[in-house]
Amino acid sequence: MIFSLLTNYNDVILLAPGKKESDINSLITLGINVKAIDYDPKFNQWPYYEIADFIFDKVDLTTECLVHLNCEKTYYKINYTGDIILRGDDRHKNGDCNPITSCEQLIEQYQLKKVYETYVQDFSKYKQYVVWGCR
Amino acid sequence: MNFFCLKWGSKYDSKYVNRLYGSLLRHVNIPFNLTCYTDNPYKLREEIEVKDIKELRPYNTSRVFTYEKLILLEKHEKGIWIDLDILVHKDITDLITSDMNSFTMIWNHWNNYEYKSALNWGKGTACHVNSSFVKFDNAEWLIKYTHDNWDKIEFTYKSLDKYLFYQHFRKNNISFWEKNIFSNYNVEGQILKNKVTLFNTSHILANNLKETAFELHEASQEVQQIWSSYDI
Repeated sequence: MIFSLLTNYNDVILLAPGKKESDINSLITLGINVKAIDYDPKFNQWPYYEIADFIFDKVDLTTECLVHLNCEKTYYKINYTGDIILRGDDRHKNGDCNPITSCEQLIEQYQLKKVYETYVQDFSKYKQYVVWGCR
Repeated sequence: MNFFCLKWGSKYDSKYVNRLYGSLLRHVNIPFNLTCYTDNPYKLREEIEVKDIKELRPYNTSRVFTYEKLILLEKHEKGIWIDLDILVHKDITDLITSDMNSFTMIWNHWNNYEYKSALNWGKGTACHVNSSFVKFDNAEWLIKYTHDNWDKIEFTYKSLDKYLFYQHFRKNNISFWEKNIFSNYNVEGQILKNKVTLFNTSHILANNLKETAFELHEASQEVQQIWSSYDI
């Protein structure tokens, strides 16, 4: 769902995407500028990836649409204005500092001014929450 | 040389502190002081300087486990902080008097870095450093960074070690003790190796791990004999 929404934009930044090589290549093929920012050094040599901790480091988040793919793993205060897609889950994994239990939580934490769409995907053991909006 | 330790709650009693002092008397051949920050000084040896652990708690938080150690850096320009659940069993004079960078801690040599930490970096579960024995000397950069970023640190990290690993190891801010100085009793076959042995178990409780591990007072007869010999 998220990647189909991104066809509305010419320039996107993906935060904490993990391994999303094929999705990124698909967007690039469509002519969309993509930058992935991930703190995991294993992506150091990957094209389109920038290794940085976007919570603690000074990172330029200027783009048409910012996409945070693992909100459950990070602090929620970021310096960004514009369209945003947020995704997080309630798996409560060991490294999760911010388990997401509703779309409302994402809307409130990220102080969205407008909400275009919300979506909940029910997996067998957990739920994943997605919000598309603007801040 | 000034050593520091922390004791609060009921997990470790005064015996842990007193025997730590005894181990330093035997294995440190220069003058030293041991200061214990605690909420209960009952039965601590009189040679040990006692301070209130509240002095190290400017933040009211249950997260960033043992962040109090970092506040030590504000109170004392230089020194060594030591956890109570370690056994010093060989001379460490050379170790503690060697020139080190402003912040030196333990690298978990007993774990496979690639498998245990590098692989899990993105999950937020990696941690390949240990703050059981840390030498510090004018680490003002760390004090400033911690206070400037406290809201983020408190929200993100369950323990001090994770904070240090994710934010300062990756920036090469931390130096590490050489290999073959420290060992981990519970990970390395429950034997005493090198000069100082760690008996860490707190991460097992914190992460609900199903691992068998022994505290210092539960370890082998050999360990008990050495440890109890530090009673004076």
